[in-house]
Amino acid sequence: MRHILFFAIGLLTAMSFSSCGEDAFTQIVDIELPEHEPRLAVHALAFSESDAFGVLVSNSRSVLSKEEFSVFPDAEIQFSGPNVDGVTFSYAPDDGRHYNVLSQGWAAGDEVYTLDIQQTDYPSIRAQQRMPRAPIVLDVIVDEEGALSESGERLDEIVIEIQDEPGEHYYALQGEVDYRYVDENNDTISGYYSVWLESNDPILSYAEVDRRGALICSDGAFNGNTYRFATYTWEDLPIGLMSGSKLRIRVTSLSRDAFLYYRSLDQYWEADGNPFAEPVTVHSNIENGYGIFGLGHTRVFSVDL
Amino acid sequence: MKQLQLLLGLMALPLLGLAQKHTISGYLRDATSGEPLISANIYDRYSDQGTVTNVYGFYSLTLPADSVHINFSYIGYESAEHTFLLQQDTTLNIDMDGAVQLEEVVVRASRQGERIEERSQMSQMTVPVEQIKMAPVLLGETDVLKTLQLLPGVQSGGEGQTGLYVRGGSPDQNLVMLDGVPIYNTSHLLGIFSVFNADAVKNVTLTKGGFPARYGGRLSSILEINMKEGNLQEWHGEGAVGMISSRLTLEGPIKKDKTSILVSGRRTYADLLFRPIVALANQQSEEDVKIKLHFYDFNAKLQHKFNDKHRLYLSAYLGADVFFSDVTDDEDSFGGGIDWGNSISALRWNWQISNKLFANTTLTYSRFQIDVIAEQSSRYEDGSEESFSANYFSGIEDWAGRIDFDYLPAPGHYIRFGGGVTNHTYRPGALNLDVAFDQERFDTLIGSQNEFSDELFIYVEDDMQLGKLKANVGLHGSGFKVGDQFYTSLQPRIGLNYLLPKDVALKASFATMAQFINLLTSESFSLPTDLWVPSTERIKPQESWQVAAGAAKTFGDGIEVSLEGYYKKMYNVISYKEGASFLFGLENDWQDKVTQGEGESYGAELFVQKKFGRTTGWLGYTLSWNYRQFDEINGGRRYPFRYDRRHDLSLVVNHDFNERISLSGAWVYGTGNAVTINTFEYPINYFGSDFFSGFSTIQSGGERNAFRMTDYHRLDLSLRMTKQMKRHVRTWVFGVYNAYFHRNPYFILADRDLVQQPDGSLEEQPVFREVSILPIIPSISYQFKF
Repeated sequence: MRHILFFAIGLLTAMSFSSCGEDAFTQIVDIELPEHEPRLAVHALAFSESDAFGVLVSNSRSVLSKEEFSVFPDAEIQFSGPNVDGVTFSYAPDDGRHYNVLSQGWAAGDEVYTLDIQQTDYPSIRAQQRMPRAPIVLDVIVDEEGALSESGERLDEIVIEIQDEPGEHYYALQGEVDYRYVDENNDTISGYYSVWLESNDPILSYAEVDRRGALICSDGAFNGNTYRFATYTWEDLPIGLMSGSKLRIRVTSLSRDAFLYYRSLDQYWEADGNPFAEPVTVHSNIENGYGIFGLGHTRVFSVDL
Repeated sequence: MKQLQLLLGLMALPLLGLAQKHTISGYLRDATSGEPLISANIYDRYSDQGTVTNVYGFYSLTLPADSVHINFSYIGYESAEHTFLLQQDTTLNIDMDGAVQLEEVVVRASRQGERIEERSQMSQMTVPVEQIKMAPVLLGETDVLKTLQLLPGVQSGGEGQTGLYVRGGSPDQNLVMLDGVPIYNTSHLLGIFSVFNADAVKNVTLTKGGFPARYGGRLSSILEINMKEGNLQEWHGEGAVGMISSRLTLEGPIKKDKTSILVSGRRTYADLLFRPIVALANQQSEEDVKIKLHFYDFNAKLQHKFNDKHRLYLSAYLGADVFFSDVTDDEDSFGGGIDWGNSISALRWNWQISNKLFANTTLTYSRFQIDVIAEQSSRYEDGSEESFSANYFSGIEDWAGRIDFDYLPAPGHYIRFGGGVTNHTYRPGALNLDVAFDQERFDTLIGSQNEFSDELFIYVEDDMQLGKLKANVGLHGSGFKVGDQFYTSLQPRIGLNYLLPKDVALKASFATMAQFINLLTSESFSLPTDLWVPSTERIKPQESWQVAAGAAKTFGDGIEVSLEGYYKKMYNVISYKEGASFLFGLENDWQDKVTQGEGESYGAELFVQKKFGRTTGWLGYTLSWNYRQFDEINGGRRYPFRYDRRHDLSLVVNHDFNERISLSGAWVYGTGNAVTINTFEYPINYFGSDFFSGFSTIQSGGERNAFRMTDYHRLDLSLRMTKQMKRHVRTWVFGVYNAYFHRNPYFILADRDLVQQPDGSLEEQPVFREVSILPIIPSISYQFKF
């Protein structure tokens, strides 16, 4: 019996130390990441009311890589679909993007648009999107101090009523004010500023769409029905103060990929630096590559203030 | 509706042909302690009819008026035989003797008992407490939940953790009950130890599929842990002195054969060990430091037997973890800490209404609460004072009542029915801030308000025998009222067992389940700060259905082999949204942080168990796939759940060299956890790019949980040396956890190192490291029993 015990203890000791590396008692082990194969990365979001479409073509790299990112002036970009076939892109060195010029009304609802990009050092990439139909905006109502913020302040309410069509749809809501007034020198001052919309409606979440703050949502809660988005803003709306001032509400029907991208990107930045945050995978829809190709169809509804 | 009619029709069958039959009923109890024997066999050799005892040791067997030869058997006990002419309803209370005195041997002394192929229930495992005590464990702390993790279909959350992941489910999908009362937090010391003191526990049963109708409320498993009832005959005690805690259990009669009491306590003493060190440090410093660092459990149970038909039990459990430190000097003081714990109580009344009908009425209370406290105060030279305190608290509190009936109308039918109601109060995370400066004071509460709900259920089931087919058919109905919303759920259940020649049993089951309360927990790690929240108008109840099929057979004298395949589909499972965090954004409604989706889990489980002989143990192997899909996570694409573990293997062996020395070993292997780490990056067109040169980048891992941590494996060993002393039995237990020191990853750390370049300069470079927390850990403990 005693021999068995001695043998067992000896075996254990041998196993313990044979399992140890140079640092016998370290509890931290470096691991190798799977090798990353660099691919083209694209950022391409086109909106119906824009007359230019900018595409960034770059590359991915391993987080361990020391190589710089590249932008590719020589990338060949083809954007095809109704009203855009044959448009050519030109490279803008200032911001590393390729731009083309689109004609007014180029966006055709329910039609498929394709983005093909070729660059000699990487596999070609392709993505397709169906341009959503233009959203149906029924009405926009502004109610001075008609809303309560989450913390109880009285704020100007902006109600946006839309008619959702059957099927899957995604919306982005944005606002801006065009103001015009005559100052004491009898000069006419005009301009515009963005109105950052907020809402207590849980189906709406915040995102940056086309470089401006927006509220975005899917139509899961009101599919095929009329829906009134109750929003408010902390900006001072010049209601009754400046004749000729207008509130312009942009309602954009986003393609699903564009919606997922904007939502996940906002979550990504929100989680950045928070060790307790859930991981975020920024949405990508590029075949053979990374990044996003998305479309948006916008309607602008103006209200006199 | 047709299902209900069929069910009622089946249950009416036994009411036919009851003439000229009499009922034998009574209780089976341990002769020494009076503890009821659960699931003991009662079998008439003449008529080939039999039944089993319920959880209170009650049985009822209705037989034709004729000669009967009744055999009473229970694993680890000597069988009892009674032969007589059954001419009237008869009461037979049997006190059974243990076969051998030493507890460790008793379990394996008898080869009698219901064989695996005879049970209609599948996917259920009962682990004798004695086996739990034999298993090698971390720091010598006997742990019920860690032993359950060694069973097929059950996975641990991570290194040293007590969380259970059953057949692809989340920890909140397990209903863990101590004496029928839900325990909402089952761990101490951030999950390293469970709250169950094995010395106070009588039996442990885990059901992971094929749920009979009496069970409900969770999707993945029901874990029933029953406390000992207390010895009605004589006083006994047992305990242990270990490296981090000690425990003591005493039980005995207040009035012999009438009233008994059991008290059991366990406490760690890290703070006691620290105290002299802290005192020494305080002497050399102007600061006064106080540290509280411990956890404790206290169990108590009072049993009173009014007569053979009425018994009353009052049981309670209190347990808490306390981490608190306070630093004070002449001007300032700062304190902070966290404490959490459960308080539960149950009042239970057993009533044998007739020799065929048994009722159990239970009133319960359960509370889990966590407090995170930070306090700071300063006194300035000008006499002004400033103070700040923040208290984050959350929890859940239940008041519940239920009544269960066992009705045994005839051999071959065991009908159970009953119902119950629970009132839940949730405190889903709030922060109380109290700031005072001189004469001004600011006191506010940030966060979600209390929420209330009522949950109710009814059920009926029949465990029936139809020739070689055994079936458990039942229906569980549940309702949940929260605010103005009332959810209902009707859940059919069926379990089948068909005995083929050569004693091979084919088993199959189907069960639907619904769950109305949820635990908000990070997929990455589990903390006591995780929130229990109800289903609401926005958050739909979780639902599932599970189908399982398999075969079972006992080879030779006692090697049980079972093979099961299962498929489980879960709906409305809950998860934090991408980027959400429990810690920040308290001003937001918790409902805004979560999303609901689907889960899918399937696989096969092999279980080979040897219960008798000098060498005992089991082999459990699980091959499984486990996925989640949420519209708002991973772009809506399906991804592997963090605990998607393709292979999970446990080998547990105990060998008795003789009555005094035994050696136990457990080896576990599991595929590495699926985690998300960012392995590559690419530029995007961020809005600021007009003003900044260059581009913002984002990092990605491609898909959620696409990276696998290193596979997990570990060997634990323990040597037990037992000796009968003059007044007690003592056992020295020497153990070693992670015997060959495998660095099992606990988490992945993304770090940056300064790396020397060829030109001699230093450059930062990202590195990824797996961090393990439990190296090779030896332990020693002294156990005693008298």
